[in-house]
Amino acid sequence: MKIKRIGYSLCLCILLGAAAHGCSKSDSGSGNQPALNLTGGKQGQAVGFVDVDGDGVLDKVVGSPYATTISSQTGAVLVYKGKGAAAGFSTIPTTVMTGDDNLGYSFVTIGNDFAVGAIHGDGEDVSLSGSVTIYQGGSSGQIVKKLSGEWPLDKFGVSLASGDLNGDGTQDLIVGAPFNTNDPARYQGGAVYVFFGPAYTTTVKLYASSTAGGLGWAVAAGDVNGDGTHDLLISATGSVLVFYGTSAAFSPDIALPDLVFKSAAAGFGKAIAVIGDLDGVAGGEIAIGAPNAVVSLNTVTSRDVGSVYVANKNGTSPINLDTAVAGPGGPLITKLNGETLFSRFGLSITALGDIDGGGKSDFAVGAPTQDVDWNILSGTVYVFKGEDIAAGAPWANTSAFDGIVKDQSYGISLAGAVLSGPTTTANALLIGAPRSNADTGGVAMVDPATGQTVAGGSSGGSSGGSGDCH
Amino acid sequence: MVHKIIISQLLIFFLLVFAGDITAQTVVYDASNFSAAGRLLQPVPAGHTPGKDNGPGTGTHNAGEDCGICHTPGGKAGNFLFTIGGTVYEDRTARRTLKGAEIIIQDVNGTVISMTSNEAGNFWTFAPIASNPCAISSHGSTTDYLYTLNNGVCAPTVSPSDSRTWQYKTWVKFGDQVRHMATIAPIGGSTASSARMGCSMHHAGMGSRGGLWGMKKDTLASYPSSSLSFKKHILPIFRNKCAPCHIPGSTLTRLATRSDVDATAGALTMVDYSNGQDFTSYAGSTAGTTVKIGISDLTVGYQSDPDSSPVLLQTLLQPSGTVTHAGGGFWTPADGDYKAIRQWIAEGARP
Repeated sequence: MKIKRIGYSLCLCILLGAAAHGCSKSDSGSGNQPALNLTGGKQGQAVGFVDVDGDGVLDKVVGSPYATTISSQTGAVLVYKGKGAAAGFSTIPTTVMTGDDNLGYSFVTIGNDFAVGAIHGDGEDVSLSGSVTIYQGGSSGQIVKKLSGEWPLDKFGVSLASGDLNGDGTQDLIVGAPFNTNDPARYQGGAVYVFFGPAYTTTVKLYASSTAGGLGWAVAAGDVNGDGTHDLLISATGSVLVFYGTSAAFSPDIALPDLVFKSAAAGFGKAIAVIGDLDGVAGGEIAIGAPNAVVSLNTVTSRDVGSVYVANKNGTSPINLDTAVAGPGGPLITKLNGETLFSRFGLSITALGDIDGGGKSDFAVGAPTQDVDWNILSGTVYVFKGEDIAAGAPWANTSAFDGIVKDQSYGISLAGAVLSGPTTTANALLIGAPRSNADTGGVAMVDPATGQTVAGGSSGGSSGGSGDCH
Repeated sequence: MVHKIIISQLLIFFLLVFAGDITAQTVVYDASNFSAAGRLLQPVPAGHTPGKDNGPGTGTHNAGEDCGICHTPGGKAGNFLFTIGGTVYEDRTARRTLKGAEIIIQDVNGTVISMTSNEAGNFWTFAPIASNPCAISSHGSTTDYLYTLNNGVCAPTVSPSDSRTWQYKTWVKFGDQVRHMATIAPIGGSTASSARMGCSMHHAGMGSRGGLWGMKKDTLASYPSSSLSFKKHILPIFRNKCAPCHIPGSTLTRLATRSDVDATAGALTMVDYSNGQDFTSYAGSTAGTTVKIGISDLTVGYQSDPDSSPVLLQTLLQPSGTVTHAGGGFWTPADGDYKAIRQWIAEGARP
């Protein structure tokens, strides 16, 4: 195992009263946004990249679902203007969006648009159900549509994903609601919804059933079977269910998934990502996190170490990843284990594309409760090279980006992007650390290929009123 | 939770519900009232110093996480073992943590343990909790008798330090508000390796029972004065305040001690802490063989006198401190939640 370790701290900036620093819009798209109190706001619970202001450059998006305003409204999305590959990002938010309760808990891009979850948001005919607001990209926060859960406390919007599931050329939005109860016999069994773009009015609903419970905690999309259409992946208790997309009517049946991955590993399916091609065969490989998995470390049985399974469709469903023999052809290509007790390796996963020109897709894995030296629960993010995975040496050139302040939960959320500038491009990995500074939170950004920091990439709030960025 | 502290072991079901303005008096509990029937509402202990058993350290990390994952033997913080720990929130939605709540435990020997929540809402203690030598562990469908009988006397098969044998009652107090544990903990997990105590395992924002809550607070920021919608205004209240107990499916308390077994000549005594009511739905529910009435059954027909509807009458805080509802009082007539439900009933309690 050869791991290149790189430590980063979060830039500690005071963002209290961010409005005074040039923030421009609220989610209504007009007027001055209220002053924010980001103390305890958990900046970095969700992170992403999207062109919010329409200048053709990706902006940095940071969810702060527990930020408060003077009206006690909870939750905000902070947007930091992108300046291009080399110049990075503004150091203070240029746009702050507020809205329903706990806005910023989750984030996903939908083509050029984006959606943000507010897990205690309201609908037109229901309160506290959770809501998801879809914003038009390039509009500085104009709302396309607002969706909501079916019942109070469904926590609609805990998980989000997007993909073109019906092959019509537009991205569809996938929303998880893990506390939904559709059947009294399956109290809080969860639900997953698909809203077809571009109107998001037609919906597919998948509810917990006798064969699949615990829905809604993780969702993903990508082309798993290589037919050119994105497929739907959802977590269920002890399994990940895959429903193949189709250019005909996409109407999945929870009882009839096209492909099932199973494992007894604790927390199996809490993170799912279609990471791209590793085996040279049409259809992307899948990474499935089991962050609570028990692993033997130096012969000591250790809890919550966590594992990540890299797998593909090449097996007879249901595919038991606990008994499958790892190999380059699949269905289990490799199983990665965390390094330390209670690191929760695999709580987050994101695809990065081929960041090093190695010809295979690379990906990042978060272990947000890993101790780093004496800093407990600071967290680590690993970047794995696709070519190493394919060659059967997954840790050969792995980079590890360590948090260096205790209690950061560094890596609880991840997002990758290619930043474009006038003459250059650069890879970027945005890392959320929502528990930094007593839950005020923050984010860091690195080039996952070089390990270099990105200008303006780090931001976060100080709980104690100290200092400027340093 | 704080690293350098203790651990917990024991999965506990803190079904904490609002107990209202309970008369303050000290009651010493013994094994007899840790029976199924004895698990119901009891007065909160008084006369102690709040926070006297707070664990050391700052403890502002990982609010809402299950402390017992790390603070357990063999865990990451295995040298700092909590006996109990958790996080308190303003309400069940767990949108905001609550500082200054008091968490009170009285164990089977009558010892009172008091903790106060810090700025992160966290609380924890090292204080030992007494063991019941006749403890029975039950979790899910598994029941494990942790004793054998020797001439009619319980002979424990596990150590008293095994948290599966700990027994106690619990209250959360904030200002003049008290919420109590309506059901006694089922004495941890079914196996020693999984037995541990951490309130947030179930009582957290993403826990199955919602946040451990301590504040008398309206569910929604505001309500219209008329034309209230069941789904938009009323059901959120029921799901926020009633759902820990009044949910679909089986809500029978689980075995805790030998007294549960012996209470009726060997027949198992259990209490349905939902009282056959599912307040997550308007019409009630059927889940397997469990049939429960719903909100409509206790509100429709009270249009002319909504205050007499059981959902309001029995949950009203009484100036005398008496409480009709076994789960305690929830509100006064001046509270927004009460007024909203009252108006909705007066308008016909329509779905």
